[in-house]
Amino acid sequence: MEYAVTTSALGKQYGDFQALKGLSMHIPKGAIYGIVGKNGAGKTTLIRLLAGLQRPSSGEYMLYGVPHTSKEIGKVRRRMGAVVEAPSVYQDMTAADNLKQQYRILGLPSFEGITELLALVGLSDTGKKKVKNFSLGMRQRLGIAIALAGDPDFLVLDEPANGLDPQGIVEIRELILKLNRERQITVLLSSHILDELSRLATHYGFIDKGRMVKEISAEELEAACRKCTRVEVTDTKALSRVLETMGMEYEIRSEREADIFAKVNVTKLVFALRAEGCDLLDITKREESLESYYINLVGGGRK
Amino acid sequence: MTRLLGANFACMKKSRNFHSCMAFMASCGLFMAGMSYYMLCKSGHGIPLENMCFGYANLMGFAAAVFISLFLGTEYSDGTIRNKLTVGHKRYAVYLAGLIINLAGVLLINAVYVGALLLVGIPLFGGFHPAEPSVLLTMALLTVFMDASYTAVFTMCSMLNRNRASMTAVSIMSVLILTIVSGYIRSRLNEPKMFEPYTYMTEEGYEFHKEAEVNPYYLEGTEREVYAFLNDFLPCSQGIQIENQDRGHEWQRSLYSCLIVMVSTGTGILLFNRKDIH
Repeated sequence: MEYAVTTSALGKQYGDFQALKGLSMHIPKGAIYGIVGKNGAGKTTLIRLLAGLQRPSSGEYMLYGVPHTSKEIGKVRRRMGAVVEAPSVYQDMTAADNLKQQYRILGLPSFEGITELLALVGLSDTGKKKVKNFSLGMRQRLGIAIALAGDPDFLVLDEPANGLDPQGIVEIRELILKLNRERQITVLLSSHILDELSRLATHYGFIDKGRMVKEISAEELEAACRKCTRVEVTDTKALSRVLETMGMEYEIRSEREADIFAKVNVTKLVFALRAEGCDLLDITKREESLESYYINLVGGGRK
Repeated sequence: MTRLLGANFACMKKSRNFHSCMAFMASCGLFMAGMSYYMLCKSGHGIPLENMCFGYANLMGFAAAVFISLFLGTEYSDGTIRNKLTVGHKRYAVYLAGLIINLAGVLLINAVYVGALLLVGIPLFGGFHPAEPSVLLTMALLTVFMDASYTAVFTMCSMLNRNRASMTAVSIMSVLILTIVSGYIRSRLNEPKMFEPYTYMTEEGYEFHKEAEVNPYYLEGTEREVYAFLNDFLPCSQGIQIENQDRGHEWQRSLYSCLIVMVSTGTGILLFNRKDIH
């Protein structure tokens, strides 16, 4: 598999605090890679290192096969766009002027494409309005537009849904999907909104205390997340007898609740329970979410 | 680095801080010309135009402190310095582009004072006829060196400190303190070696005669050398000398300015290379 980014035993120390402890990560080309982790797990530190804002204390990373210590890394970074934490925009300039500024930094020969970029992120109508008068969501979109200047192959977005209204979240999600599908841009995303992340990511990296706990593709995650049917009954002992007879895998959760890990024929189950003198009160299909998978993986409790 | 310079110039053109500094220095130039003309009309003695040409030198430390800390500070406060590093610009290039743009800005702020002064002064005083054009040229060159040393020091401070407000306050305070120190150094160096003999008469009609005596504040030996060195070395002292169009030690002053530029830029690049950008 070809990788856009790989990190090997990456470490970052701030004084006495070790933010990253030998983190290894692999982002396949063309993937939407979601980093999942608690506050302080090392997500933003990792992004800062990849964006070249800080240097690793130990270990190394490679962008498109080029080590970060190589002289060629500058050229590779031109293929990269990033929004790290707050969007990096000049507050006293308009959206178009901000993009022109980024075009100059990149050394692009003309300002062609600025109108299209503004339209892409939904900021066509901002005219002469200065960024300091933008909403947080508008700034976030402008930050993404700046990151997209120069047609990057690799886009890094740190909490892109921050400050966006529900409509904005949907629009940014669609934009990321569009960029990934139509322009084959590899995307590295960090987000606290795991539900949102699960709608986008093709790969996940679970980080905890500066370490990579697990890397998994969306398909593998789906397979790993067990689907079940949760039932509520008047007597779980009777339910156990019935399920044993039917040869189904199950787990009793409480005196009235149980999870069944098999396809359930509801009619048969109801009749069998009735014969045991037990009533079926409720039945729901359940699927382990990214959130519960993550909690199980890193052990949900806070320090 | 050409790309960074292009981006920085475009940014400076739109910078409110830069426009404010330009406006302030232009007002100073206009004020000086107007004030001198008023004195000429009222008392018949005005300051010659060529003597006012370097009136900005003392103010340049403050103007440079404000302009550079606010201009570069914006890169940190708006976070836009990240856009340059993320797309692969080398840190030394980002630093040097900042230094060059700041120097250009400071020189323009200088020029706008002289421009405003001459724009109003020439029609009011009926022309500009400096007695010694070579002195003006020398002072102009020394101004460039002094500006470069101010720029290098403030660029280093601003590139290494991301708090714009504190950086501006510290820079202005430093210039203020150094200006006071420079004034003190100059006054000590100008102390006469001997007090001249003099005679005076009291109200009661008694006449007293004071013999010539040694001035205890006159600096001698190593102490004088140190004061003289500081007078040539400190940018604030250089500013006072330029303002008064003092001759002598031109090479030393230029050399010290170059030394300040090299040391502060070298240190700045070294530390900026290691700095964690947030």
